[in-house]
Amino acid sequence: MQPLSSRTHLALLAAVVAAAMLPALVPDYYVQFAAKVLILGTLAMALNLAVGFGGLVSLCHAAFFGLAGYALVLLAPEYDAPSLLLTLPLAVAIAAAAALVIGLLSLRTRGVYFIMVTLAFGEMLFFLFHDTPFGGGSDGLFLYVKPVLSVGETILVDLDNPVTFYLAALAAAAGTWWLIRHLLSTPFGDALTAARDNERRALALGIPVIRVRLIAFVLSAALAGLAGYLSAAQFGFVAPQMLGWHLSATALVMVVLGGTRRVAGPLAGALVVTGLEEGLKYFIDDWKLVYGLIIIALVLVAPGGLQDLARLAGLGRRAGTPALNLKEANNVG
Amino acid sequence: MSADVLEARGLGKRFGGLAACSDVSLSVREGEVHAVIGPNGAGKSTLINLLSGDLRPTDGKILLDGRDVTASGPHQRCQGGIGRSYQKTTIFPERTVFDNARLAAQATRPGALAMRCDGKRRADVRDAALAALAEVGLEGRADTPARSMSHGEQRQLEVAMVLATAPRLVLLDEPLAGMGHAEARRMTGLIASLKAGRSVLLVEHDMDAVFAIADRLTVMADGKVIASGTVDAVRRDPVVRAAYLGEAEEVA
Amino acid sequence: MDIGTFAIQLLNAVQYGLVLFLVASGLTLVFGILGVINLAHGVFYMLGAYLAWWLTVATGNFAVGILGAFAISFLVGMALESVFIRRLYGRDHLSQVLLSFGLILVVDELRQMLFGRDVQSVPLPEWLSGSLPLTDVLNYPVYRIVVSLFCLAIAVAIFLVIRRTRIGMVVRAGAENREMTRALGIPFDSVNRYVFAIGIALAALAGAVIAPISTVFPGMGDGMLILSFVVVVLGGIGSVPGAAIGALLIGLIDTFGKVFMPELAGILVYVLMAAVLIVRPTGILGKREV
Repeated sequence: MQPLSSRTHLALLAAVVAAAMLPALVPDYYVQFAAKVLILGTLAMALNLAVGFGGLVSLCHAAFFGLAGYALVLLAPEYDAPSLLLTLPLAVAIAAAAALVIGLLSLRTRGVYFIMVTLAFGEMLFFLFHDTPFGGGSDGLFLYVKPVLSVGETILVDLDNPVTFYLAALAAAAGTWWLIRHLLSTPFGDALTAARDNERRALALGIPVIRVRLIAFVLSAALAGLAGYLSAAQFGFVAPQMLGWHLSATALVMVVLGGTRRVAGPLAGALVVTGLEEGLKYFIDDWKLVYGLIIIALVLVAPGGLQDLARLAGLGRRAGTPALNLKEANNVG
Repeated sequence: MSADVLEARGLGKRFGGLAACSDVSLSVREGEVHAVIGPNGAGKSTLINLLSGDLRPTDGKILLDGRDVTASGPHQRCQGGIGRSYQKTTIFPERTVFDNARLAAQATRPGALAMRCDGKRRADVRDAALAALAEVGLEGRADTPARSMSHGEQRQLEVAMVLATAPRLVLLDEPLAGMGHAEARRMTGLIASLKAGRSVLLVEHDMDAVFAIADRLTVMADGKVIASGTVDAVRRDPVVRAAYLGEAEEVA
Repeated sequence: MDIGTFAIQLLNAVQYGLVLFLVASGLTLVFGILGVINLAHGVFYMLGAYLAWWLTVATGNFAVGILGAFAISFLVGMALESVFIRRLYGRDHLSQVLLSFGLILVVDELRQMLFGRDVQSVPLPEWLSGSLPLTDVLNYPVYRIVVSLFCLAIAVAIFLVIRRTRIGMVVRAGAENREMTRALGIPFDSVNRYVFAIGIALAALAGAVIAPISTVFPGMGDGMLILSFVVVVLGGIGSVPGAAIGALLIGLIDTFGKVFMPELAGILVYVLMAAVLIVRPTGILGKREV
């Protein structure tokens, strides 16, 4: 990863400003769709901190996502607006705390064990909310009033407003992107990717691999929690499916589609997957069949995700070279 | 007499019913090259893995500067001053030579896991990495991707990475394995130069190299130490001659 | 708890454990030999139950339902291995996770197109639907005993194949020893294909035999998949005896957990897994880390 240059900062700023103009240009439906993409993109980027940069294929990130969502709904007063300043940090902290416990246990294992163990602990949380009444059981819970940020009597941010909500989702995605990118340029990021590339060598160089991975896992879960909080606020509803492993796997599809070695890749993956889902649902009754076949084809034909697809589509020579360079730059750290 | 940097007392390692090492005691003194030799399957690699923390012993103790480090893992031993190379070259092939050395230098310095600063802009790390590369003679290859170097150069790079962690004891597991004649000679010279300010424990098959650079020898067979002492004393030892050296000299 | 109730719960626990073993042994074999993590394993448990229901109702013969479910799943497994799974050998776990996730969606949707999404039940033939008197007042269903004996017989057959045959040698040697397999002159491609097909067919068989006891419903594979993973983590990956121990442990803990602390029963299995991870991260019979 290259250090953040002022040029990258400018490019980021330009992208965020351009994205912030969206509500002025398109109908409300698309603004809501864009907010959903940004939220799922935040989840996928967060997951990729563990998967792509930490080498930890986690199948329980939906649980952190859902846990933070439930935290918002359970913490909210029934007929009053919950305070953003109070509920957001708490929801994120709860997701991080769960990740600390799950990470401590599952990081004792590697590879395929890690996948199975994270899947099992994630499903444990799913069943906890599915089978017990305190989170509304399998029916889930409604959030009647959206969170607000207010100073005294003045409401500064009201997530009930779709444009405000969209901007909040945009800020979350941009912040997540910036944070992960920054992290990868630090010595901590070096240690994380070194442990991914060669665990034995990393240990022999004095890197406390388990501790580094645990920190990355918890950070990644906290960011997934941020996404889950926003998702619960967007739909005003939480259900156990939000914690289920099918969402974790879908986020993995986004990660692979976008490219595991690029910080913003999963965001692009989220856009494609969400768009595909909406499109398929609209046109085809048995859309999951097509969706499943597309995922299988992705793995077999284009394991490198969108970059591979671009090359297959014949954009190879033009798009290929800079993409390759970027990939190498990422590999360096 | 100089002090012991590392001391192993009665080390043993069993895999299931098989004893790969039993009752191995040895010491490495400050500023010496200590070679461990023995036929294949004698337990030399197991011993080096026990000393580096890659394996946990089933019996015995390991003391680093008189401190018991038997229970500590490989990263703790590295922080304690033990650096090692592996029989199979263990580097980061996808990164540049400089980046390999930089990661090594950074990992043992304060702020190894810092989350604020930029890893590439630390002058102390950069200097240490370049110094380590210079010591093994790779200063001109800093920007080369490690995977595109020759086998011998990759092994030199691994030694540079070990040096960048500022070790006081360097463990080398068959550093000459798979090298051509010229490469092996360069590596032998490099190992001999390492003992300035450090100690070296070396497992090696190449007897000429061992006799040229070792100060002391430990001979192992069937997981046990059968002789230990200065090179001359060990060469004269009848048990050693019968068990091992006789064969080696015939082959040579 | 009196001795009669205890006996009934114990029989239930063993029966549950044996069925779980059928599913988990397939999963652990496929991973141990093929090196592939198959998340779609649970969906074949569900498919087996639906196939058994469909065949039993269509032919009026329960045995045809069970055997047909096994045979069809076996053939599906052979086909899947040669089209998709064999392209995963040596690929990273992430690709395997994604491909099997895609497979879940496809199989689940096909099931919906063929059999619908309704909850179904499988009728038992007369001779299997009775009860055996256990004490003066307690009876135990014949079918549950038959299921236990049937699963036990299959388990014994699996152990015999592993202990006594050349394919079994490969299984015992584990996935790392492909060289040895070649040296033994065993055609690797067909071993892989049979192992994958058998693994899937065992899951389907488990779903088929359990169908008359539980109901047949679309999501029944998911819970079983997670439990099989827990079994494999408990027992050690690739270890069939480990899977047997893990499955019986879960059968006991889940069944008696529901009796003694019904509120926590769902969590107990995971507490057990956490405990094993703390004490032995590679599982009860897993290879020790070196």
